[in-house]
Amino acid sequence: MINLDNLKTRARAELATARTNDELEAWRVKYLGRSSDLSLFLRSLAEKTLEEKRELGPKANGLKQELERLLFDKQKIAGTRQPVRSGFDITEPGKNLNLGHLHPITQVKNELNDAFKFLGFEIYEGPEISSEGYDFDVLNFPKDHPARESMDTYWIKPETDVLGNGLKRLDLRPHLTGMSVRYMQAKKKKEPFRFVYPGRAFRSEATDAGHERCFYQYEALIVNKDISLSGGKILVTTILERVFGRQVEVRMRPGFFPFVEPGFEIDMQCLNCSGRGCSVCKWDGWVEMMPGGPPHPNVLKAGGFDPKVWQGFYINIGLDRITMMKHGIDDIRLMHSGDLRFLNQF
Amino acid sequence: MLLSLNLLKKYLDLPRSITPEKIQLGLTKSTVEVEKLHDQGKNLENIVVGQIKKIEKIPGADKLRLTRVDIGESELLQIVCGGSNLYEGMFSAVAKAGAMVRWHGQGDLVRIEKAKLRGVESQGMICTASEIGLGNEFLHQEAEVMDLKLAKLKPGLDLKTVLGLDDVVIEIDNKSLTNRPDLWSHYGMARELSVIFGSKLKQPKSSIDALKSRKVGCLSVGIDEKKLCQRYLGAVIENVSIGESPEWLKKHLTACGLRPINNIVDITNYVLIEFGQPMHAFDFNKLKPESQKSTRQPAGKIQNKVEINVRLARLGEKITTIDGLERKLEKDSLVIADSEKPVALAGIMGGLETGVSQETKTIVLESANFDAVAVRKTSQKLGLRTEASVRYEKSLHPNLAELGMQRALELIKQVCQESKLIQITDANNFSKKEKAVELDYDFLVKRIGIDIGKAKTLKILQSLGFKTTFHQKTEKLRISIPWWRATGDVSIPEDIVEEVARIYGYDRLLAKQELVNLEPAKYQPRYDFELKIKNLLSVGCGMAEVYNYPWTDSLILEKLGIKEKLVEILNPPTEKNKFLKNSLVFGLLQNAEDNLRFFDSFSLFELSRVFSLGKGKFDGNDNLPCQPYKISGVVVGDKKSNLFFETKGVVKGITDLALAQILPRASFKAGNLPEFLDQEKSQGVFCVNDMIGYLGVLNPGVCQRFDFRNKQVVLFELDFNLLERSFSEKQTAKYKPLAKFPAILRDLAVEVDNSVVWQDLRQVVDGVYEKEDSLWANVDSFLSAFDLGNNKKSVAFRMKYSAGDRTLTDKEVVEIENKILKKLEIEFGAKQRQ
Repeated sequence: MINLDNLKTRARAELATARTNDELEAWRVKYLGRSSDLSLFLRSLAEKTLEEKRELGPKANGLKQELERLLFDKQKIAGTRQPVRSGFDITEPGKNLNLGHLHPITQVKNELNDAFKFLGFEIYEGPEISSEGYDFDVLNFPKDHPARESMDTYWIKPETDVLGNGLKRLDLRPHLTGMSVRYMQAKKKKEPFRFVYPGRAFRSEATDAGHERCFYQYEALIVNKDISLSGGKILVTTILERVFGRQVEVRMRPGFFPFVEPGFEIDMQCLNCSGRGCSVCKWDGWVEMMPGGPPHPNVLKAGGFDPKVWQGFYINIGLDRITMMKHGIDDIRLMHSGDLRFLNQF
Repeated sequence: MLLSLNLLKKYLDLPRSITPEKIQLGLTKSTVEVEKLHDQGKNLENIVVGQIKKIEKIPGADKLRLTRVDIGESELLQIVCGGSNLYEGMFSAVAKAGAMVRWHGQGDLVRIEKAKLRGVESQGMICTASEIGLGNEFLHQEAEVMDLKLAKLKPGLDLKTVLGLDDVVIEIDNKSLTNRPDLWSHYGMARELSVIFGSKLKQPKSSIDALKSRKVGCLSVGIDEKKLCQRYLGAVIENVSIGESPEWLKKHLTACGLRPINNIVDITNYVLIEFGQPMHAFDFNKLKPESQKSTRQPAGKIQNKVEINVRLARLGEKITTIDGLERKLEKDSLVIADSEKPVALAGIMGGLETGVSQETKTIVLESANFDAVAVRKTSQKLGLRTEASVRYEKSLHPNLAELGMQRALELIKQVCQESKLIQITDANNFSKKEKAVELDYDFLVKRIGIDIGKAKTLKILQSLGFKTTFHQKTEKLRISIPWWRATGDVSIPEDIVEEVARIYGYDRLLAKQELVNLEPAKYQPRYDFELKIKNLLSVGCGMAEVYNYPWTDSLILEKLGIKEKLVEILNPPTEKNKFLKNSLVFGLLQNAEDNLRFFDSFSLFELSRVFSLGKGKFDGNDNLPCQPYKISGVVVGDKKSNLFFETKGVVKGITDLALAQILPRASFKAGNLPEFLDQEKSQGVFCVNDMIGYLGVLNPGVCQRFDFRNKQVVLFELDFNLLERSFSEKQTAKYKPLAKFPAILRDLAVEVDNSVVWQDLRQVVDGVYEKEDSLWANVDSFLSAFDLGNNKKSVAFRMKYSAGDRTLTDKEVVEIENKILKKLEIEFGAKQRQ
């Protein structure tokens, strides 16, 4: 009869000195192999009395398991630290593939494109130099709306307007919404549609960490015979959940924009604090995400859609803002810096 | 806009359970955005009235003084202070240890502790108003500490108690009020809150009598511009004594950020914040009398007759407004004039000369309605926005002028009990017809997305002041618009949808899945292409994507010698950024220069629109300039490296992706290149016969104008639209059977003159067996080229030989090879190198 305690002490001591895989294997054969003392002992238990079985069985089995575990741990360590032989250092890095970098806004735009394409939306784009006709007149901006003043919009110098628009001034589009009317007018058949039109827009204002003269938006418009405010809400939720990859709480509240009626500001419950209030949401629990709402009847009319028949819903996502939120970027001006120290992070 | 909760409560019975925070949330969810709440008394613990007993200089400190201050305790406090207006005997706000202040009015609250300043112990702080959050209530210069001049001041009193700071100020985001003229007042907001919280709204007191026309005949009102001024109420009040306003009035004004001036002016301002009606008071005796001959009479006895004319300014007229500035008027500015000259800018600001002063005894009180556009235009031209003009700009209703006048008269009577109203004139020409909207109940249900019930709908509308008639049979609703919402804000059925839905609660709307027609998926290869190109350049070529502005720096244009006429911005971000780029290269060169400060070698690309003067083609009926997309890049690295050919590989990759099925694929050759390029080290990129772009390096003269730190810089720019078009038209690749007989690869090296170029060499080689039917001998790949001296070079390449019906024997291959070498010798004098 063997002494299990002695066996354990010996096995442990020998395992501690084993260095190579060969040595580990020799140890395994000696202590856990088919003809090891422990295996023989376990087999011999069958001939013992019930009482002896009860006493020694669990003890021997426990020892076997313990030794197996010790061996397993040792092998794990050995696996990660293989001995260095013949100058072949397996820990040296692999070939450096320079994978380049897409601008973070492009990445978020691609994600949104994917999401909207999945929902059957068409992608559309339009001119960046547009005109007062499309950026204000058709969008139900009253003739004397402050946004028409030069303080907000970059106007194109008339001398360069050699195209004969006369009094219709050309501008660097201050928003994307004018494109929706171009799209509607170009649609020969008046049928339901849904499309997105990402792009950059321009405003003449002072820049700081939160404001840019050139910024990126992602706008979507869906028009059908039966789109209600409730329908708009699900559109918003779907998109935000796609971008942030988790369930979000959305809040719609009144906001005023001439081209929608009623107009909304759409807030998302702060993902950083789940609405409890933190520095990201300025202790409000909600973060302003986008404006939206059904197109004003005058806008549908301008697009050639009868507002008595058709309804719709706009949403407009600030691409810069959503990108900044996603990556924790604190200065919007970095987007146009062309600085590789910034771009290489994405 | 600032709202005082105390003033709101004058018109609103709010239960105690409605806290300021609940008001904030309620307004934000149903009406307008509340920017913040400011509890006046908050954070004023441990701030007391202190009297400065002694001021001493501190050696070595310019602005700091050592003061000893009595705060009602047994010993004077010793405080180091930098206030610019300190004097002995001054009462000011003293923060004791433990008080919370905002350093210079900015940043987070900081706890005051005893500290050493310039080696002197300071036991507290004498505060400026903005340091303790009272900047709105007590306007002051930056370094001035609070100079308290109230009666009954005693050192040690709590500042909060002394100032009566028991109000909560609600700050509203003005942008969200653009379309709601009715909300630019406390009464309007109280009405909104009464609907949101279901509380009772108290009606304003009004005595019809007050407005009964009383004619003494000392004021006549003439309106020349009936469209621009639909109503002008003028009242003459005599025996007015100008003085300070009562405390309650001053408190309401300061809570709302207005500075008390005198009782009459304060009352006009108070009516402005209470009801949203701008008002103005003239000094009757300073208005030019109607008759030239009559002279001014002693105050108290009115014999003159003055006239008020609402007219357009005449050429050359000027006015000095109460802010002391002389303003030249343009012809179409609406003014209030006496018999001689303008005395006020209608709806914006009154004149200095005719304003109320300490000597004023008789006033003409104005409560009028002016056209929104006219006021805005003049305000914009003069660069003068006032509390009055922002309200008129939103379009006020003429009824409001009456309400304002009633309230002002009531207050003047209350504050100057001796005063007497002697005349009131109401000149008006506005339609009193009620406006209404009609709609089907079903329309509401469809637009909102759920049926909230007829009774509930009507109740919401009625509580907002709409009168409703519901026709049971047709389910039609007729909704009369209350006058305060009738100036453009509510006019179509969609507006009614908004009213009902926002009060019901947008957050109670369910996210409802729409029934949508199944539509075919859109196939839009253009966006696939954009994605592919960007992935090729980033993942495939290791380039980083940049975004640049559409405008360029004129310095870059100068450096590059660009002389073309570019599209120009009328009001550019800065003068040097007035031109819009017609090439992305301008921005990329700048990026290259900037990044060289931190990196030795890198490559960048950009895909964006550029602008030029031709006519572009877009949806829409306007004529717009050309705005094509370009895909451009800059590659920067060591002078010795092979950057040009690396870049050429990138460009070929782009064109291969786009032109895969178009044969021949893009070719590189001399073309009409921009002048800033080195013509010998640059090439045009062609697709069939069209040049679609270029690649190359800057010419040495241009290059040295940039700071490239002695690195090599290679550029490319391609027309994205052309590439994308051929990508979209690209046909599906057709499978070709694999060759039955193996091809044989053999390398060749020849010695030729340096003037022989690879492109020609290759063409000749490929041409030798071009016409053979089942025998092919082509260049498989270029291997290398190097200089041999003597104006000779070695060119090595790999050939591929195959036949359609057999495996070629060595003998055959050598024959073919010899034939090719012979041809090369004839064409180029090439000799085979062994």
